[in-house]
Amino acid sequence: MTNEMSLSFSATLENEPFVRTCIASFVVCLNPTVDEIVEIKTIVGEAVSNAIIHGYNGDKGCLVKVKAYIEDDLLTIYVIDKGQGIQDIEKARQPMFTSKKELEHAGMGLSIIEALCDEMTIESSLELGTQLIMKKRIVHE
Amino acid sequence: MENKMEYEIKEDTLFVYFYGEIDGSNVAFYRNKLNVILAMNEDDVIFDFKYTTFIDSAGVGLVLGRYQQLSKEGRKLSVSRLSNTAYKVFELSGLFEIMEYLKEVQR
Repeated sequence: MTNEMSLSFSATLENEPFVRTCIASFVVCLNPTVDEIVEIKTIVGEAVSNAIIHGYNGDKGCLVKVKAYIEDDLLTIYVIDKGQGIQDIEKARQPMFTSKKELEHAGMGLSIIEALCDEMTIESSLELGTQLIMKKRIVHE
Repeated sequence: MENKMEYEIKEDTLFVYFYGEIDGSNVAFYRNKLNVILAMNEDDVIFDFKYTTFIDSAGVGLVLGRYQQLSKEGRKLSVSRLSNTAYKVFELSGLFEIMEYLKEVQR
């Protein structure tokens, strides 16, 4: 059986702690280790801040959607925005690439997600938005 | 846990201890406070994350920015006692190629 949840929230960074904590709580039934919980919080945080900062350019009137599914030991998380989309996905995936250098961004968000989850997929269309899909197995290690 | 910083000066080193979470929602708060703390003297600096429960790439940006600022002044910045995940995040970002990591600090 698949267990699922979904969440829709204003595109403001103030919501980041609440959203990552929410997903971490949803996963508790899989009995994750402390490290796994922090990894999940980190990938959710990175994905959500991308949607807010890059997808919506910080426009608080917009909504970010997060959906999560648990099937056996597999956690799948969707972070969806209907924002401006990513111009060049390959470029965005490169470590140290940032379109907003002036904000002291490290340009590491996607690289961090890629390293901490098992599979990351980006679907994006200009003007239509971006959907980031992250899969992570909870192995209790 | 409340998000806050404490600092102390010990043997010509400025220690800054971070408590709670560091992310995009509060990084400006830390940056503003740090700018005041770091301007107090010209010592080398150690950022200690033993009491930090969460830090993401916004925190990496914060550390990197302070590193660049301190380097210009000829001061050294080291980081210490990151959680396993935070260590991975810092390592991926290449921070340990320019900054020293300390597993333990004397408090």
